[in-house]
Amino acid sequence: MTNINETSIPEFEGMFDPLNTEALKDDVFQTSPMGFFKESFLRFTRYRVSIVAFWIIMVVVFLAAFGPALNPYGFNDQNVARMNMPPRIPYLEKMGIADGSRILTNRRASGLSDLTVYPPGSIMEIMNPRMISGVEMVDLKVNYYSFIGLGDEYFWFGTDYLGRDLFTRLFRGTRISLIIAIFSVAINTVIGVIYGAIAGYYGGNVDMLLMRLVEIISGIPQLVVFTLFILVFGRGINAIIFSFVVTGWMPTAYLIRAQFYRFKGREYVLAARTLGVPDRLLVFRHILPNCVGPLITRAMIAIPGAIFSESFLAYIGLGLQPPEPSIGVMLSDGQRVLLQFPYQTLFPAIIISALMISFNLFSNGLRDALDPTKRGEF
Amino acid sequence: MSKKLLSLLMVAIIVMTAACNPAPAPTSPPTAAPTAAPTEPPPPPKQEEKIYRTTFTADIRTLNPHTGTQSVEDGARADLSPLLFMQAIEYDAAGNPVAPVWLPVFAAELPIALDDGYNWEIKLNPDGVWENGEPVDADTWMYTFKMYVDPTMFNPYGSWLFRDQIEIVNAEAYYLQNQAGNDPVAWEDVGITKVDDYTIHLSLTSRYRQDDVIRHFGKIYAVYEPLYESLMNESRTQTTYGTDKASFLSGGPYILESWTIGSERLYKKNPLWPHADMINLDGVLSTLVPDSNAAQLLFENGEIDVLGVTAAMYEGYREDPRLLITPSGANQILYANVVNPQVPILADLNMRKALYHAVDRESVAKLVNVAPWATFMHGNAGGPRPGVGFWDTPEAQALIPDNWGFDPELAKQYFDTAYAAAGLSGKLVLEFMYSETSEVHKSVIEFLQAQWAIIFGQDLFELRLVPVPSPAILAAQTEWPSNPNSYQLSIQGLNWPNTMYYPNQQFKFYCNMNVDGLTFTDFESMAPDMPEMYLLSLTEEYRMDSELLYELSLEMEKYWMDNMFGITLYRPLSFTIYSDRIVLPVTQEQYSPLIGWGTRWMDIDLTK
Repeated sequence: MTNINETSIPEFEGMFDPLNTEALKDDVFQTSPMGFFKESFLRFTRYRVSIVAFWIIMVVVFLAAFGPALNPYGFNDQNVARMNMPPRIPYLEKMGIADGSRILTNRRASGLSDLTVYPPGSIMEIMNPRMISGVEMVDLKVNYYSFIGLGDEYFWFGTDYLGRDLFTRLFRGTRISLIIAIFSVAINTVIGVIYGAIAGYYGGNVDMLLMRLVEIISGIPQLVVFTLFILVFGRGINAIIFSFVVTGWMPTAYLIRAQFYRFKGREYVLAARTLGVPDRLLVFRHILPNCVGPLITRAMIAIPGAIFSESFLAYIGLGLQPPEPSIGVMLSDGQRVLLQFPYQTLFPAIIISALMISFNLFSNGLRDALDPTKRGEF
Repeated sequence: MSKKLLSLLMVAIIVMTAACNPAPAPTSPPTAAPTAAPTEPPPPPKQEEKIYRTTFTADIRTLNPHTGTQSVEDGARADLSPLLFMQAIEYDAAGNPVAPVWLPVFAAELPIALDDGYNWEIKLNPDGVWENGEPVDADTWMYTFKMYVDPTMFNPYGSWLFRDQIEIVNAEAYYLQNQAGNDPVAWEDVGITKVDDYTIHLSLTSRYRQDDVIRHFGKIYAVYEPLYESLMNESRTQTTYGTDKASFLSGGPYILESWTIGSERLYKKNPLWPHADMINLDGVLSTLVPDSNAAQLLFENGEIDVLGVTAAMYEGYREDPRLLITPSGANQILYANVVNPQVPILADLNMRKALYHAVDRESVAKLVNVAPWATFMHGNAGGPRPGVGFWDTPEAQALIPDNWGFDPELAKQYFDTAYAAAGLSGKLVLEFMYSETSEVHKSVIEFLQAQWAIIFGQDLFELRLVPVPSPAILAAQTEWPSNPNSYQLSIQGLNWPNTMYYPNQQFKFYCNMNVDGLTFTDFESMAPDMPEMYLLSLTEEYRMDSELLYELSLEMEKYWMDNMFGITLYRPLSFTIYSDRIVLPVTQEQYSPLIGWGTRWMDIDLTK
């Protein structure tokens, strides 16, 4: 092949000067090329709040997985002698936090010296002396563990109305809530992706038909679906998961459909189609990968929604079959004794709040990190 | 914008703002008070009224005694409607309450037996009037009775008149005449007739004791005919009488002053009531407070006078001298649906005995602050003599099993026998239906769920809990004849406050003698001899002889224990606290189920 720089063309002789080829030479890349997900990860690490949220989720997931095994109590170990014990946590108790104390109201002052009722050291403070119906009454702050003769035991989050350990029940319940949420979101994602992909990719009458069907299904109130499913199929995990699936896949389908409409007309897709790439490959290799970012974000946002829905169902009495706990079941039980034993509501409330907030903050970080319009931003 | 311009703009705004605010008026020196004109002396301060402030958790639907079927409605009617006889308290010379007595209110005296005891006369009180001053006479009561059993209206409380404590001639036939296959009966043929304006004659199907007649009419409330008729629909099947303030006329100890439906009711003392001098309160204010925690806060703030102490609150008041403990008449009983084809093992007596002996009643009592109870008949049941409870006698005490019937080893033996007889090989799974709104039921059944699995074996037995909405539970429990699969195990309590002298009557429910048809399972297949024993107890020979009736009731209780057609779990206790200013006529020490607390006769100490 002739080097053009060395070719002489008589007609243009003298009109052009040859370029300095040395000056045009690019430097060789010193770094390896960065993929989309790596770049997204790097971008995600910039969102400190999301990182914190991620670690909170990890801690809760760890406790949900291993928490129930961290103490000797089973989730359904009942004991009438240790009902409604207050929280008591080693080390923290020395700081006056979760020290197993409890306020006993309306106690007769005359009975405080009875050691069979108040063992030595059980009374921590005597408060609010007063007369009621001619009887001297006081309120007492007692070490409840000493008071009922369980001085060596520790119930970190206290016990419930059947004497069951709340720490064990809470994290077993968290595990179940997470399982319900993750499975229902996973199934919703699969159905939504397939449905949305078909509607978005083929468009036209297929899209019209599928979308009308979605609109019909979405017209059924969600609470009615939940209630009917649970009434017909019982209060098992499966019934709750599938009740979430009946209408839960539709937002994902809408999302994927929109993404497909956006990408299916792009040049590279048209080029691939022109080259005879089959629909299946077009969908799964060329278009769907572009939806992964929004899809992950959507799934992450849906998880706290599912946890909340499960808790809501349990709260209104449509929860799991007793004695199986879930966060919602525990909140429902705890709110009945909110004034008397607030810790029975407090711990489940903290966990569900932490999960909801963390998943939402984590999702926000993911959404920004996976946003293709932010490529190159660090 | 330059800084100068910005400064000018700010100054302008400040000036405008200042201009918009009116300048404070110049302070004028204090002027001397005008010379007081001669005036009337100020009226004496109005004495504080004795208003008893209470709460309710759900509003009543109606004050119509013919249609209201809730116990709270009974309470409201007793406060507001004319009643022939009312229970009061008899005191000894020292002022201690000793026994309940019947007080004629709109009756002039207690019923009078004519000759043989089949016929009675009730003399009416000529002083009995409605709140508007119109008399409550024989016409009032005849209209009331007629409407109770009106065949067109077919009121749910019709049976209270025609056959409860006593049976009135032809009253049931009159009530049921529109039902298929029944003959017409004229009102004139019913055994209640007006003798004169203040006398009513009764013809009964059998001889009865005076106490029966009094108690029968002790819950029949009068209605005001002009209003009742004016609110009747065209087909005369329904009336809206008593559904709000405008559709009701009072005649009881109190007058309905106001009724904000779903919010509050205010009663004022009725000065025209025949025994108004016995009512110490000026009024009663009932407020809707559905949440018990909210009620507790109101009580602690001194805004209400009474608090129902829930199981969760109990620990905080257990030593409070104001706490009153009331044993309930309604034992909580586990029923097994013996006709359910899915679990034929429930028809096996051994299985029911296994369940009975597997209930740790002491622990159940501690768990939900109730009393342990292992026998059928409730603790308020009357015994052989007036004022003596059924369970006060040694013969009855001997029926109570050791350890309240809890014997896990015996339970396991019965279970193994039943399990083998049923030819089972895997895990026996039973479903236990209960009301999802009952915290106590939930706690007890969750406790049993864990305990029974331990006693019978985790690999052999599982109890599944089926919480259902309250309105659905009674339907499921009673539809077993048409739908045998409606439930497997269930819990229910039935209150029999009006049968406290008649222990036999508690078995009415088990003998399909209940006119409402409320039976929870096929009792006859479990205890075929019980209906016969029950019918025997209704005969004159037994009814008129307390000792004989008591002995037969003991036999029936033994028969119940042998055939186990209901498994008693516990006896509820209710805890109540009244504020310091409430003065009850009965103290905890003086309380007995037969006397009660006498709350109608309470007083308020305004100095507290």
